Amino acid sequence: MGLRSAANGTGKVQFRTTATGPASNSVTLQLGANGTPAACFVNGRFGSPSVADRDATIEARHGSPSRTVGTLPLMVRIRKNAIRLTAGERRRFLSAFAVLNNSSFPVFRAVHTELTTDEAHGRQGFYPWHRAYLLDLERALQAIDPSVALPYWRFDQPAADLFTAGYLGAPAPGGWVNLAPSNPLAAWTTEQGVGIRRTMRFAPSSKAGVISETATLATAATYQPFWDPTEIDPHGAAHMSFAGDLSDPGTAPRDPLFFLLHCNVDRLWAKWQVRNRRFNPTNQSTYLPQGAGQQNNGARRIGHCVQDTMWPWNGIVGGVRPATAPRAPFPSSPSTPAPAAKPTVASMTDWQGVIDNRTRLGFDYDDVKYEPQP
Amino acid sequence: MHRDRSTATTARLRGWVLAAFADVGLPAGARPFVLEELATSREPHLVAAAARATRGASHPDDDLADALVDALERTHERDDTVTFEALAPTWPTRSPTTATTELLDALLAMEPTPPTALPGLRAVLTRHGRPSPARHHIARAIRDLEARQPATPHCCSPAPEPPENADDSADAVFARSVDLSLGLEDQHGAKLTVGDLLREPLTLVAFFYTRCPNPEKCSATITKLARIESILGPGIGIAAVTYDPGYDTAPRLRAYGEARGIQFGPSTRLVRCPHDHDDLARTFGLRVGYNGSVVNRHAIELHLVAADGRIIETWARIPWDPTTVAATARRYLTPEDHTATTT
Amino acid sequence: MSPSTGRQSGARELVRIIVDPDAKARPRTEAIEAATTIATTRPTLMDALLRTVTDRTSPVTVRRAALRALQVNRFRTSAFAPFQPRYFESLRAIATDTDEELRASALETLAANGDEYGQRLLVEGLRDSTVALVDPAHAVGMLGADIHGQDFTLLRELARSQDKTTRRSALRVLAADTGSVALFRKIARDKNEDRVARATSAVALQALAPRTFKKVAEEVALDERDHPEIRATLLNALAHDVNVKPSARLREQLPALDAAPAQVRAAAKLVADREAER
Repeated sequence: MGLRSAANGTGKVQFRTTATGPASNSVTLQLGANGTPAACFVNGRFGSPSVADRDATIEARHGSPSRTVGTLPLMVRIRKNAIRLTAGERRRFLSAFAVLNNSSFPVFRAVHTELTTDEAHGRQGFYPWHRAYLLDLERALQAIDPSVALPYWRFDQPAADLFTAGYLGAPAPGGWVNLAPSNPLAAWTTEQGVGIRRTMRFAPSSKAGVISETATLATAATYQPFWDPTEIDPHGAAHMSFAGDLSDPGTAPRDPLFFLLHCNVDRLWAKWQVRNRRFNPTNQSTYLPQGAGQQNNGARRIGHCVQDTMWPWNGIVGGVRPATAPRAPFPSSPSTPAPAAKPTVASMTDWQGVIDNRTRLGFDYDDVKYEPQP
Repeated sequence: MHRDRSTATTARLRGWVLAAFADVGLPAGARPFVLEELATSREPHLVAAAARATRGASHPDDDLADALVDALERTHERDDTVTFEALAPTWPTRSPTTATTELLDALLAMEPTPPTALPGLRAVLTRHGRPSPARHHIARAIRDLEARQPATPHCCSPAPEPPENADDSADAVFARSVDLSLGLEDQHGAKLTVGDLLREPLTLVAFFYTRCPNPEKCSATITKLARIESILGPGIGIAAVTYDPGYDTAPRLRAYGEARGIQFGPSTRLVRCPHDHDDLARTFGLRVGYNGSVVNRHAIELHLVAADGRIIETWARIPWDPTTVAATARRYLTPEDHTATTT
Repeated sequence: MSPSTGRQSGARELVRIIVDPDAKARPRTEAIEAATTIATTRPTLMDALLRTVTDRTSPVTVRRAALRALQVNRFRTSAFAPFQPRYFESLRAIATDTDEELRASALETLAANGDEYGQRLLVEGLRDSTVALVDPAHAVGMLGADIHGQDFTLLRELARSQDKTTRRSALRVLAADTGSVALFRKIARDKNEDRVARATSAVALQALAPRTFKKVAEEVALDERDHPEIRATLLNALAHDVNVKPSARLREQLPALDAAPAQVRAAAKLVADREAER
């Protein structure tokens, strides 16, 4: 029996006979005579993501001459550069976000307030915590529309298209953005009122005031000296490229652009990981500090050591943790068993499942290759 | 005094009054308010003011010392520069201070030092993370206390009893009943009365609102109610009423409760009182103020209410512990023991 | 020289340049940029930045660079916490600065963090334009970051402002006030109103009074004489609201909107698609 990725779909897949073996565009499997299934591994083909649900197809072929005996439609769902989404992808993303705004989005805002002062910022857990936060939101969007993935704002390049009335809002007098009547975000509200408060401190046709991706990735080859300066630049610098809600840690998530900004921050970490092969959470070059954290606000504060579970999803309150933990437990996904309901810092490091396929988190980036390690 | 003022202005006024107790003396009736700010406020100005107020106490006591240390634990890493130079100061100010400074000064001013102060400060320092002015300040305060005369036998009084006939009826011993006929709407939009809400022999009734900016108040209250729910199981009702009935519609109540672990059911609800909220506020003696339609300040408050509407017990102003409250509620399920008290 | 000593002498040199009153602006701003990613781990650098922000004898470009460096570092919240008291004290000191960018930036952060002084300055400026530190539309938006800092009576006055930008800003922020439902209902229905004001008012109703919003939205959406833009906005809002189910009347009328202007048609299709999914 042969499997192949259909030629006529936008999304394409590849096959491996083992989790870490070489990939090819088709595979031949020996099925047992008594119907025993044969397993293989499937991943999206780099450079050929889907643009809509079910635009990729696996064809099962049999016989001589070979003919198609069955098909399985699926989606190669990938986080993309926000300015490269098709019109349909953009509309679905904005729609899902608008629906979320009317349901559970206040809780996402409530999580990223001063409560995250010690849980998510200023310490090494910054990257893994935000990876979990984004994934939590993305899964909430996918519960509304499974074809949606979070796009990223590539802030070290011009992205004029993003700052238009049909997308994340065009600059307008008074400090608020203009949103077209047909834009699903036109009805965006928070507890503070109607609309998105954002003023650009750079021209829409220019890049934001951040260091380049090249410089970011070259910062260091091990985690600690990579995280330390990059939390400030490009991350903090991207936030401060605006006036308005994005410019304050407590108000930033009121602006939907926050999630595209952080999606790029996460993508940079992902690219750095792939470049330096940093997936193994027990390796100090991948992540520090190792071991379990302590109940104090010192260098080994709980929540930032690799074995620690992360607030709020762990539901733990009290001690040095906040008194409340909305959004616990972490939502499950139909496409992967990871992470657990109380995700650890470690569970965020091998997001592609290159070492252990079971740790894959169910997302990836359009320009980050998947190369499992033998 | 607080009506139709912003939260920040209300805090400013409140702090001004609290700080004045340092000069004029701290009356017994003001103690609960001082302890409340030290236990729950996230505003450095109010914490600093409450710390100052303790210096007006006629003699130090363990409760005040413990409250100062707890406030230091919560505040020293989210502090601010404050001033009591004027009710509406301009900046730069000639007399800046911080909540950390005021808390430590208040502890150092206690003579003799309550025995829990030094161990409390050492524990705060142990949990404190990075080198910082606050850390140095705490370390210096510890050295100052250690350098004092060897500890004399503890001569401080226990915390004074609440005064009789106190003006603040909400904090006095009282027996009160709520109006069972008031109309409510729950998190699923179902219409019910207060009487319907109190369907169990006893119901724990808390107050909150979804737009509360202090996560240690409302968000923590609902989180703790969920915890109590899991401890108690069926037999005792769990309810929370919003201070903000105009904004906290059924979907908002539902989302807020679900996100904090509430398992809704006939005896576990989040409700609003859309038409009779003022009557409800009176009937419960709510400790809440408004700036127009928005809450400008409120206390933590939880009541244990019998099915006939009698308020059996109240926990007010100070954060309550779910395990303790659950144990108290279970105790009251025995029919003979329905005496009203305030904690 | 050990790496640690090297880093310390590097930090010392940066401090020296940053605070040097005789140095030109450019080397000072360059030193600030070089210091930005290491500042929170060097209290002397943070001290230099904080002093420079409030130093009115320094060139404004240097002061702005210092403020930006502090703001960027504030996103490392736990590392920044020890410096927060002085940071807010500095912001209050520059809230009335002669440089508009400095004072706007300071007021923005102060207001967003519920600072009484920052909010007071903004409200005073709205009441008396001669003491306004930023333009009214921005002042309203900054105050709007904290619903607990509002003066709704003042906002309702500003919602009658002749200045369109100010008025729109006030209406956006008034959407936190359940006491303004009648105002929003009136504006949303009025065909002679500014379209942005109408759209804002309708969305405010959606947040504050969902049943009223539904009634007004359906009324406007089905009114062939109303502006297509407004009709489309309200249909769009309805389509994305999981808490409001369109009435039977609207559902029946949706096919008739096939003859409506393009944007109304597209929004009506969204509503129909959502209903099909429910």
